[in-house]
Amino acid sequence: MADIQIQNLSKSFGAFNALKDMSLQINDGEFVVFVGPSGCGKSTALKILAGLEAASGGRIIIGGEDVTELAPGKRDIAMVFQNYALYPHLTVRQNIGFGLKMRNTDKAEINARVERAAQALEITDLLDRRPKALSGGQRQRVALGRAIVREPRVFLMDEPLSNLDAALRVQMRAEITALQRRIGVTTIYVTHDQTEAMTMADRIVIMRRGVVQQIGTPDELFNRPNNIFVAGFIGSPSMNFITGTLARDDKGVFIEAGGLQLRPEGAVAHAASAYIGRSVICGIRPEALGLAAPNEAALEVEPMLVESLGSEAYVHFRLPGHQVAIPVAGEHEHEGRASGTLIARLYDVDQSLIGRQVRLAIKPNTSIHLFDPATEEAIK
Amino acid sequence: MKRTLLQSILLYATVIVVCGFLLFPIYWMIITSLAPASALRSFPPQFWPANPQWSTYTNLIFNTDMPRWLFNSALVAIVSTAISLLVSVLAAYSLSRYTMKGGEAVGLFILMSKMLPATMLIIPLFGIFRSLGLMGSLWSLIIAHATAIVPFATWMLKGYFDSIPQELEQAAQVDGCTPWGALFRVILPVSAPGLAATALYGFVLSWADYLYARTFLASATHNWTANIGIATFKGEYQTDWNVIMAASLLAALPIMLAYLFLQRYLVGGLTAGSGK
Repeated sequence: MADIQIQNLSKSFGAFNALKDMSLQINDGEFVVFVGPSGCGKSTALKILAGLEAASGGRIIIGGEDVTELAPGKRDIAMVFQNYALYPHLTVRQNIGFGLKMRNTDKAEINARVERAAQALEITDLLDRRPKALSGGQRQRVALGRAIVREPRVFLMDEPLSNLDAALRVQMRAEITALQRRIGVTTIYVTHDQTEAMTMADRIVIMRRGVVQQIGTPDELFNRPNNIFVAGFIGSPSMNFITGTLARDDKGVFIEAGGLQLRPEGAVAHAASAYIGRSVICGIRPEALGLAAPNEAALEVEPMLVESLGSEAYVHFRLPGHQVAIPVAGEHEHEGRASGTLIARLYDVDQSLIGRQVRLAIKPNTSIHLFDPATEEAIK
Repeated sequence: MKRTLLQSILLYATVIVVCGFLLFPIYWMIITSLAPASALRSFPPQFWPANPQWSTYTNLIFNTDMPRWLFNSALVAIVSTAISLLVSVLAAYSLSRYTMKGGEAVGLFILMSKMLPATMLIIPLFGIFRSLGLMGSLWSLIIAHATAIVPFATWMLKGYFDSIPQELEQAAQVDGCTPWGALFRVILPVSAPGLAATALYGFVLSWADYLYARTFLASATHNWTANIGIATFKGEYQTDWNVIMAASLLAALPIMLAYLFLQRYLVGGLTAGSGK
């Protein structure tokens, strides 16, 4: 096990910069998730860490050793690939033991370790099958077995769950997290799925166009996003953005929107005083909106669509005059949301809301986020 | 979908007719080889000789140089296929996996050389072999055949390697293989069907050659391959067709057996990459 230092890592393919000046310190035993939309550089970063791609600049230090120039096999890392990359001509047992064999491990030792890994992953009865005779979930376990059997210093995982169906993905997500906690190997996990990132990571590195946007715990990214991109990417459904002019009265700064005063608090309110009289982008999470009490100040909206998930519903509506084209739209999924549409996550509602006037209020103790429209940076 | 009786009858009838067309020449070769020379031009033709002349075969094997010619053919075909595979595997793998300046042009150039007719290459090859002192040597034929096999084999294998996910050798490298190790321990075993199909293609191409052998080995009778040898059975005034047919069958036998045994791999090899 080891810590990892990534220092000013960059990668260019001709004129295209896939990775720009990435620096990051990963602690021993930490589970770090690289997340971002397609083409953000997360997989490139992982491949450079694995040694499968040469860096254009920067250094990688694993456990105090500079591995930037080392061959993949000499870095003492294990990698799980998106398509599992199991050797089709070898049995499960040979697949798992392949790395040990390449390192001239004693045959009895290989057998013992393969058995141990297979037991941990509950695939003992599959050891003599070939990969083509396995289901997707079983293949995934074999790929994990191949990684853990070597007891490497670092695990690298490149979207390992994306080929599984939804139910299996949730199950394997929990299993991988539990496995990593149990064996405590420093892990870097790449995904484009923010839910995976939020549920699995100790810390998340969120990337866009080859640049790290923010590094932090899932809570930090959710509650204190650095910019509109992070705010929009983390959370499902994603954050609502509306535009408005910042004003101040005796109770503090606020934006007036649809008959409601949205009042940021604390450090955000303090930082926002520099923006009085200027247009800003305001971010409200769908779960911060609720049905208003009869006498409560509220947004009067007319829902266009209600997506019921059983326990909750996503209510889509518009706020004319305050709509803003989400700057990050098109780069990743916005849960099928039409541009400029806002979403409230409500409970105990149904399709009958469509076309009716609905009053929405901001729930107490929820954050109002403000962003500079020019730089897209958070005002905080 | 279940077939109706009529569809089944039509299907089997088609299969029988097509197989008949394909197998009739072989059947005719067999009965010609077994018929006495005098019965070959008899009318109506005999569809199975009344008195099969097995001695044609024993004479061919024990009283002519046929075994030696077959051995030479096999030697040339095996060595030229082996050399071609070695070159093609490396060329195809690098064309498939590595991007380099002009890589595509190199690939097309290799394929283009396959489009040149063999007769066009004979004169330059003749000149080269004569200056190297290889005329009459089996090496001349081995090299000439390799020049014909390598371009197509490279493209065949490139297509096969393209269908193998790159993550396989990346996984092997992370597991401790060098790039060479990944090629030999993972990619080549996985490509076995593709290699078998390519090897058979090369073997058949070399085995069936007459033009190069006739040109480079004409005067070296001890190095003749089966195809030149068989041609010598055709005399100026008299031709023993039964002997020629028997020799041709003996020459075709190794190829037929190879197809029979490699059939499973060949089908896999030819359809590889068409689906997961």
